[in-house]
Amino acid sequence: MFKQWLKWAAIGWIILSLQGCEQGSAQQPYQPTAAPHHKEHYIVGIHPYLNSQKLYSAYAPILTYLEQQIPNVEFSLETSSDYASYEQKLRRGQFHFALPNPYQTIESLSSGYRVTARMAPDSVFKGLIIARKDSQIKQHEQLKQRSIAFTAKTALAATMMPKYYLYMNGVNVDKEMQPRYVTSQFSAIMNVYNKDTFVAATWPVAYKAWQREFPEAANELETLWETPSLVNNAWIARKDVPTSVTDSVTALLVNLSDTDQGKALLAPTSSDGFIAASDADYQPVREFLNAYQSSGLE
Amino acid sequence: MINSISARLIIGVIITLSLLMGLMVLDVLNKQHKLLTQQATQQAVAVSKVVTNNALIPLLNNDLNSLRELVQNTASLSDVDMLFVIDNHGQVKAAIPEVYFGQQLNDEISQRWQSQLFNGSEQQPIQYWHNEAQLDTIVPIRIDQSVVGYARVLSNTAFIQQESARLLHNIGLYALIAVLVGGLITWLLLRGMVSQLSQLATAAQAITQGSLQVKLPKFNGHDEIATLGKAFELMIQSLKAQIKELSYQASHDSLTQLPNRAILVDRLHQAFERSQQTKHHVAIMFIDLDHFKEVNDSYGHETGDALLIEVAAIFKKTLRPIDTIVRMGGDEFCVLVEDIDNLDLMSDIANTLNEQLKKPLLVNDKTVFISCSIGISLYPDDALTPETLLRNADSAMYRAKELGRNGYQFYTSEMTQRALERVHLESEIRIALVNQAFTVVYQPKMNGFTHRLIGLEALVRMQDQQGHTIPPNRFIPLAIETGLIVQVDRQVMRKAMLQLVSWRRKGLNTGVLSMNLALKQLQQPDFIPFLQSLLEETGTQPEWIELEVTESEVMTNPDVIIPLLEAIRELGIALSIDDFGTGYSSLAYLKRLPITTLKIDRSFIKDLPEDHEDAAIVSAIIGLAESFAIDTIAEGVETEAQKDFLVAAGCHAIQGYFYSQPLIVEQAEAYIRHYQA
Repeated sequence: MFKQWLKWAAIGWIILSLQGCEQGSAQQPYQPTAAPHHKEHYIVGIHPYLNSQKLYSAYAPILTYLEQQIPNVEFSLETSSDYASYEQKLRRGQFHFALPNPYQTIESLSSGYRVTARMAPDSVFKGLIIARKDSQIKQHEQLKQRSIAFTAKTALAATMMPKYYLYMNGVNVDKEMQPRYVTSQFSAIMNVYNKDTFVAATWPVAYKAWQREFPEAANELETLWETPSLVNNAWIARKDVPTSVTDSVTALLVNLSDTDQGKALLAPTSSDGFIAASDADYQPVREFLNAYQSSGLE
Repeated sequence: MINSISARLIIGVIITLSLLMGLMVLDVLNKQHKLLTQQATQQAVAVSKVVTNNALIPLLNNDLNSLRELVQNTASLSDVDMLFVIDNHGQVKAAIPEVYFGQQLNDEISQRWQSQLFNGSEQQPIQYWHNEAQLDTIVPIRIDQSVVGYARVLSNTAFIQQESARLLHNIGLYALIAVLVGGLITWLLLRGMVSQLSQLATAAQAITQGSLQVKLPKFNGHDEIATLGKAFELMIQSLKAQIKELSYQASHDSLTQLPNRAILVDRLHQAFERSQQTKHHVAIMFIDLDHFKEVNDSYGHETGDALLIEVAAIFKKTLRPIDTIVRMGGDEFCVLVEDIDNLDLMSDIANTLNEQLKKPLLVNDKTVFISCSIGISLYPDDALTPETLLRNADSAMYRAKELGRNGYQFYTSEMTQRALERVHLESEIRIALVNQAFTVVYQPKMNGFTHRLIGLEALVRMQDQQGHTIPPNRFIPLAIETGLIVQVDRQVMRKAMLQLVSWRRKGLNTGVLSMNLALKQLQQPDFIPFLQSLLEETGTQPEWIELEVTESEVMTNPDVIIPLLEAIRELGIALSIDDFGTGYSSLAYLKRLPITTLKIDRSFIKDLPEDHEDAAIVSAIIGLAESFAIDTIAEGVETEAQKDFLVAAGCHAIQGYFYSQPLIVEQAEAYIRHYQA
């Protein structure tokens, strides 16, 4: 009996030992394999009038739509942290397609791009000067010696157009006010809301987006003045992109507003859609810039 | 080794502890493994999330340099083998190692997960163990619900194995120490117990080898071993007592509590040694009670036993304490007497014993008379070994018995001769039985008045192989003693009855043929059937024969014998009491005896008619017989005067040399023809 017991004990021990060994046995390590990216890849740059996530959320579906409509082509949305870096990328020709503001459009035309479409309507392309309701501003004169928040110096609708408007109304921002460039539209709005600045300059698309996001805060703000409107943002293509692709993209964009699906895709962009356009459509912008330059504003 | 209890227990404890410790180690290892695995997975997810959280903006901005820095910083953390940031088109935007940069991962696993991720079917981080040392973690980079890309971290989890191995090493060592300590403690505990058990085992072995002088440890406490030890001590005590009792029983007679033959032989040896130094004699007295058998038969065994006890007591009282008294069996005793410088001492002792025994003994409320015959044999004169000494004393005792009992005899060398002769004679009897060498002679019984034949008594004669005639008084007592008398008598009866029938057929008037019937024969359970079949076989009529039993034999146990005699009478056979007058018949029994004839013993006839006492006895016997209406016959009649006296007294039947000695067949036939009635 004892011997049998001994036998089973030994068997048990061996099993336990084997289990121990099993845990220690080595295996071939895993290593993923890779291959070069094969599809035609186009980078799309939208001027950073919204922060990167919002911009992505608004435009990525449209790019996905384009990919679905055009075979063997991929589109990547490349956002930029600020206008400066966006403009730099544009100057370097880093984007295959881009949606710059009118000012940047003029600049891009000398960096190898051409205009194929523009956003509608033009009426939204204007500047807004907003303040807290409790600031009690009625006259332009009241702004003198006060601070004002801008996105960036080169933001046409949100900076240059309000600056020029105030210049024409007797207030030289650069000389008579304290301008602050806070890199993004939302930052500018937040500055005035937070009383960091007395007023802020922005444009309707950004302001509406902000109002949607912060409806309660929006109640405390009001629009003081609107500038005259200019031409809306342009859809530009690098000239070395195959014409077929450029044409297909342009056609698809222009036709977006014709379908419900297209309208749904356009909604987040705060535009009515795209209309076909060319470089010549931006002559008014060039003229505004010349006038601006002549005014001596920065 | 494996056969010792402690070894088995220690091995058992070690194996049990090993198993338990093994299970414990296994459990700890499992738990540790689970913990480490959990830790590894959580860490991998944490690392991945750091990447995804920080990669979103650079990924959107296609800020490849930031992504590169991000993955490099993250991968510098330990345990990260490979790290990828991949965009929503599957393109590697940053990677460690950098060789993957700008590529698409196209192995099956990568493809599968990527499609799961982009389809939105996988909301949680994906984790997969490629093997024990490689954990793959994939965490999507999202904006709201849309997947912008993902971070993939291949963690090196070899530390789990290393930790497990280290732990196994450590707690394995502790477990081993625990097992060894357990074994050691068990051994220490067992050592005390087992040593006690070993001593018990040694003691038990010694006992089986016959030694009870064993040394046992002192058992204190109340545990099982102490209980066993105490029980063992009790067992040894009990064994000692039992052995003592057994050895006493083996060496003593249970009835009289006297030592037995074995002790006697032993003491004889010792006595011989002492005798060689003192030059004094050693004597053996062989004592046999006379007629003890009759006491047994008459009063029953209980009385016989009580008598033996009484006799033993008398011996003890009479003899010196240093004398060894032994019961040899039955009614035989031996006394060893040492240190004898004068042989008269032995005669004195023998006489004293005889005197003491002769006194009437009251046993079981019965008065019993007893005597003994004593044979004495001396060392070194008569024998040099205990056996011979005893045999010689026995022979001397027989001689004393032959010489009339109630006496003693010193051994002589002739006794040995006689003993040898007895052995020889016994074998002669057996041979004669086989050879039908017993012959029958016939002594006529005459009517003393008419001088006519009234009958014959058949008497046995024996011849040895050399043709020598052996006298009946030599072989008949031996035949009775050895029980051979039964066969001898039956042979004689058959021969005599065949002869009787032969004569009758010849028209001869033989009268009644008497034959002696030994008590032993009568007591044979098959005697009556034998007698019946013998009558039929030989063609003998029952009234032609008569059986003679001796008075002394009948009187040994009349209550048993009378019914047997009655059975014979019922067959129609006449019965005669032989040797009447020598026994101690009570009249009450005489009246009950189913006999037809009284045969007056020759001792009363011998001195007739001169001896007035005998004459008076004979007349009285005849008168007694007449009053009971029983015939009488006188034997041993040798003279005419004797015959005349008897006839005158009323006993007409005469047997003896006056008419004729026993005759062989031919002579008898002639005698019958001449004197038949």
